[in-house]
Amino acid sequence: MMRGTLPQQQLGAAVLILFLILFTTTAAVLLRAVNNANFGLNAANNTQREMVAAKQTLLAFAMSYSENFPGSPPGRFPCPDTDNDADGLPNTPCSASNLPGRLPRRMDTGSGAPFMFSDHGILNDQRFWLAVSPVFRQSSAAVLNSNSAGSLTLDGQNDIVAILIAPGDVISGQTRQNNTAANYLEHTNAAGTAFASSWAANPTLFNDRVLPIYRHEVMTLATARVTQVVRGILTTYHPANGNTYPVDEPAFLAALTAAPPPVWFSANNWGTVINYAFINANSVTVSFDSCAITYTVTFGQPDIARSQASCEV
Amino acid sequence: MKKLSNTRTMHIAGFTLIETAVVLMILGLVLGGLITAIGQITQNKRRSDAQALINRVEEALYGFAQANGRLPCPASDISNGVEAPAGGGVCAFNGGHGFVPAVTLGLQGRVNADGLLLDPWMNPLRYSVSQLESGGNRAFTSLAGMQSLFANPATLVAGPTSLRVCNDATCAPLPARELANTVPTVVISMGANWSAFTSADEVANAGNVTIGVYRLTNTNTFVSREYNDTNYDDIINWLSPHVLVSRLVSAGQLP
Repeated sequence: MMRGTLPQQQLGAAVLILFLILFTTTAAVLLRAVNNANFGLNAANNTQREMVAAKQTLLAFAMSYSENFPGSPPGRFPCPDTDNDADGLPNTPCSASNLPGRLPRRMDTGSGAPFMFSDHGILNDQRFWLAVSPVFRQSSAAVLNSNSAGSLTLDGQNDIVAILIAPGDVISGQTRQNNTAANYLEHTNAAGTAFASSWAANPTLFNDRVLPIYRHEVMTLATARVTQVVRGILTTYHPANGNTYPVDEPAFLAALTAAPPPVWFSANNWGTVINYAFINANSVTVSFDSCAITYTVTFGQPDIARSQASCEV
Repeated sequence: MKKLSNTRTMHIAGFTLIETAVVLMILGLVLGGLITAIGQITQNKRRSDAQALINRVEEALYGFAQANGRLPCPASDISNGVEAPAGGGVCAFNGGHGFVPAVTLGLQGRVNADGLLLDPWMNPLRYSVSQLESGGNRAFTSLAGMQSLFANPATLVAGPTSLRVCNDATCAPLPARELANTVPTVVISMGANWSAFTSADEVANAGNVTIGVYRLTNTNTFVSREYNDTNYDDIINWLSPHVLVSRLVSAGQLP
């Protein structure tokens, strides 16, 4: 009896195959896990990095708005892309409502260097979303200068001019793909004025990542641009008026009127928010309402000194 | 008893030829699949490492510009990773097309015997910088040029000395094929197939001339398009002139 059954019991091929299947399955699971872990980490890092890059591009757009769109002041932001069509461009004029739309992918300018805001999320319907305070919108006719306040808030913080939002994966109650903000953004973020970076009451129903742009960040750049314009006027004034800068603010305002400055300068009342101080014939200071920077303009110097890095008070 | 023992040994001696063949076939399939998967993962990892390295170079370029008010010139094949010439200005080496000046930028990473920063395929990263002029100075590689560019934005215009990026080497018709035409810098990894050029698009990025032992471009048109395993695997990043200027203003280098 032993001779008859022993060979069948010890063939072992089935066990080998079983081990191979187990090995294959384990290897596949491990590889998938490693891939997913890398992918998840990379995706999170990429989202953060690309949000910061998009914010930098938006700030650059705002600073150079007066150059790329003559007649308009520095400080304006693009309208959101509300139709999500193939062109990826802003939909102008901006919607009358405050509702956020997708961050435009690009915007062409006359200078030949288009603004490439971000291509993040175009493949998986997770493009960034953008909300812009009405005064700071591209198509706004409202006066925009250093006294202009941002009307958006984030977690109760105010004076925010624009907000970038990464929508995250679809969560319960949302349906995609469409152009309805509430199907991408959670809590109060879809409403477009009072934004939140978390939702304590329903943390599982919130996965937005939010990056604000503060008024002082925009005005740090815009006042630099305006000071450059002022310096140009002062540089012309100096040799034509006995080699001296205007001796006081009334003389400075008269010089501004006579120059004249660019159309956007006067149309947005920049002259009324500038504070001018005479130091000597070759040196003056210029500051702006609601901005903590004091610029020092010195005749013949290629650079303009400033008292601090940011307008933030 | 002895006979019984011999008989049993013969019965447990091993597997049949068919069983062994089946097992070897399965083993071959499994190993083949694993090797393919690991190869793909390795390739993807190298591409993501290359992209991360280029991102680091980009941040270092912004950091250098924020500290010095200008961008560095490229390193040459014999400058050991230092910009040539030191101090910027007119980048005489190959019309502004060379290598990442890793020493000047303070970048860590693998370098070759010539001190050039290497991508994951052990090939030096290429770096080109625009020789556009503003106010009589190089607009991006001199502080005076950057100041002039900020004071006179109209000098930022496309021309024979500016760099442009297109989505194919012909860059025609315009403007449909043009992605950007006044970019300050371009940084390129030539990808896995760096020792050969599989398309005109790759030649445009790094294949027009040979200097020392290296192929480099000597034209101002670059190509950025979708990755394709057979004819385009370059990884390319470029800076925006507008973002560069705004970051210099934020850093206090301008106006």
